Amino acid sequence: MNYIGVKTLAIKEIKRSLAGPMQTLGAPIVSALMYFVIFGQAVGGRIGDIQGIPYPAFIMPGLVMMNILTTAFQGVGFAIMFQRIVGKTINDLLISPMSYAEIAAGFLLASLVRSGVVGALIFLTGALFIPVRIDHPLFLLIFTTLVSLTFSSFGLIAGLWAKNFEQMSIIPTFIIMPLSFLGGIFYSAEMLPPIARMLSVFNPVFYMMNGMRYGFYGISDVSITLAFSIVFALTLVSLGVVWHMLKIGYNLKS
Amino acid sequence: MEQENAVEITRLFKTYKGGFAALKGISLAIYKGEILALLGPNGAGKTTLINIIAGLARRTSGEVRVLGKDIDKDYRFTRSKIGVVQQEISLEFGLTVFDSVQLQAGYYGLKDGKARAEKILKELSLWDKRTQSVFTLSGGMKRRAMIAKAMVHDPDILFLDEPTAGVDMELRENLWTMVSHLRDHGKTIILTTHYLEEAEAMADRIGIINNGRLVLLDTKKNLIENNKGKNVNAIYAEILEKDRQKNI
Repeated sequence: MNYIGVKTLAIKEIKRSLAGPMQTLGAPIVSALMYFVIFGQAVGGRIGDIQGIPYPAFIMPGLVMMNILTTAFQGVGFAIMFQRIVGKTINDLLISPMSYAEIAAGFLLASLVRSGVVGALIFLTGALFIPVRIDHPLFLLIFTTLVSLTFSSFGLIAGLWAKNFEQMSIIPTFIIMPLSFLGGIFYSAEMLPPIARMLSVFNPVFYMMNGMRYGFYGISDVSITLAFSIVFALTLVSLGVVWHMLKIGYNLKS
Repeated sequence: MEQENAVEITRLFKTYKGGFAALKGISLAIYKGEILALLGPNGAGKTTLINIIAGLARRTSGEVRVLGKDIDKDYRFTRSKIGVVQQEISLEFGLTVFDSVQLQAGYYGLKDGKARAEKILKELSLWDKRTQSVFTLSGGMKRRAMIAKAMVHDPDILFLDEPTAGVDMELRENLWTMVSHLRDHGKTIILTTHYLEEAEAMADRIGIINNGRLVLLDTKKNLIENNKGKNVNAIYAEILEKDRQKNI
C-alpha cells in the first residue's frame, strides 16, 4: 500500500480547497445562516414543535446534511473533472505507481475532511441561534461519514463521467437539491399527504435525513436500522462503481 | 556482447473505440543506456506507444515489458522505473515549482520528497525558480519543470514525448545537453520528435513509425553509412515515401 501517495494526494486536495476558503467554507455558512434566520427564526417561530423538537432545531440536522452532501459531491467531482479535462494533471497520478484504490482513497479522504469541516461549521453556526444537542454522537459520526463517503463517491463518478462543466453543474441543481428538499429537511414525513409519503421511501436522502435526525435528537420517521442499512448499502455500491470506473480507466484511458 | 533490454515490446496493437488502428503490431527492443529517437508524422502512433508503456492508454493486444516485468501485472515496479514527460504541458494550478515536483515525489511513495525535489531542481537549473508559481514560468521553463517532475523519482528509463516542441533553439540545445548527460549517467532515453536534427544530434538509434508500424529501426551510424551523401532528413523522407508506395 502506497500510504505516502494517498496522504500526498489527500493533503494536496485539502490545500486546494483551502486556497479558496470563501467559496469552500464561507459560501455554505452564509447560505445556512440564511436558512437558520429565515426558516428557523422568522417562519419557524410560527410553526411550533415537530416531534417534540422546536422547528429551528428540527431543521438543523437537515441543513448540516445538505451542506455535507453538496460539499462532498462538488469538491471531489469538480476536482476530478478539472484535472481530467482542463489541466490533464490526472495523468501525473495515472503514470505513478499508485493503484486505482489508492487514487480513489486520496480523493475520498480529502472529501471526507472537507465535508466534515463544512458540516461542523454549519452545526456551530446553528448553535449560535438555537439550543442544540447530540443524543447519539458515535452513531452520528459513523452515519455522517457514510453519507459523506457516498456523496463523495457520487462526485467522483460524476467527475469521471462529465464531459464539461455544464454536465457537472446539472447534478447538484437538478438532482441533489430536489432530493435533499424532498428528503425532509424542513418537515417530517408524517406531515406529508399519503402519496408523497409513499414516494419518499424511494428517495435515498430521506433515509440519510432521518439518520441524521436520529443522531442529533433520537427521532426518525423510519426504522433506524433500515436507514442505516440503506445508507451502508449505498456507500458500498457507490464505492464499487468508483473502483470499477477507475479500473477500466473510464474517460481516463483511451 | 548482447545488449540488455530496458523495454521489450512484442506485437503491440492498439485500436481506438472509433476503429482507428493506431498501432499495428509493433515489436521493438529498447536497450539499456541508449537514446532511441522515434520519428514519424503526426498520428503515426508514437504518443500512443508511449502512453501504453506509461499507463495512460490501454493496449488492445501484445506484450510490453519494462526491465523484464509486465506493465500491467507489475505496474508498481514498472512505473517506478519510468519517467514520462508528456507532450502537453500539465502542471498543477496554483503550485510553486518546488511543490509541484515534491508532489510528484509523494505520488511515487518517496519519503524524502523534499530532498529529491531540491536535488533535481538544482540539477536542472530550476532552483532559483522554486518559489515561483508554475504558471508564471516561460514555455521552456515549464517544459523543464515537467522534466523535473518526471525525474524526481530517479527513473532508469525516461520517455520524452516531443520535449522540444515550441521551445526556442537555445533551450532546445540546452535540453539536448541535458539528455546526453542523463544517458552518460546510465539512463535509457526514448524521445519522440519532429525535429530530425534533434534525432541526428542525440540518438544512438533511430526508429521511424508510420501508420502504426515500425518501418525502420537502426543505429544512426548505420543509417548514415548505408545512405551515403544523404542526411537524416532525406533518409526520413525516402523511407516514408517507400512506405506510402507499399501501402497504396
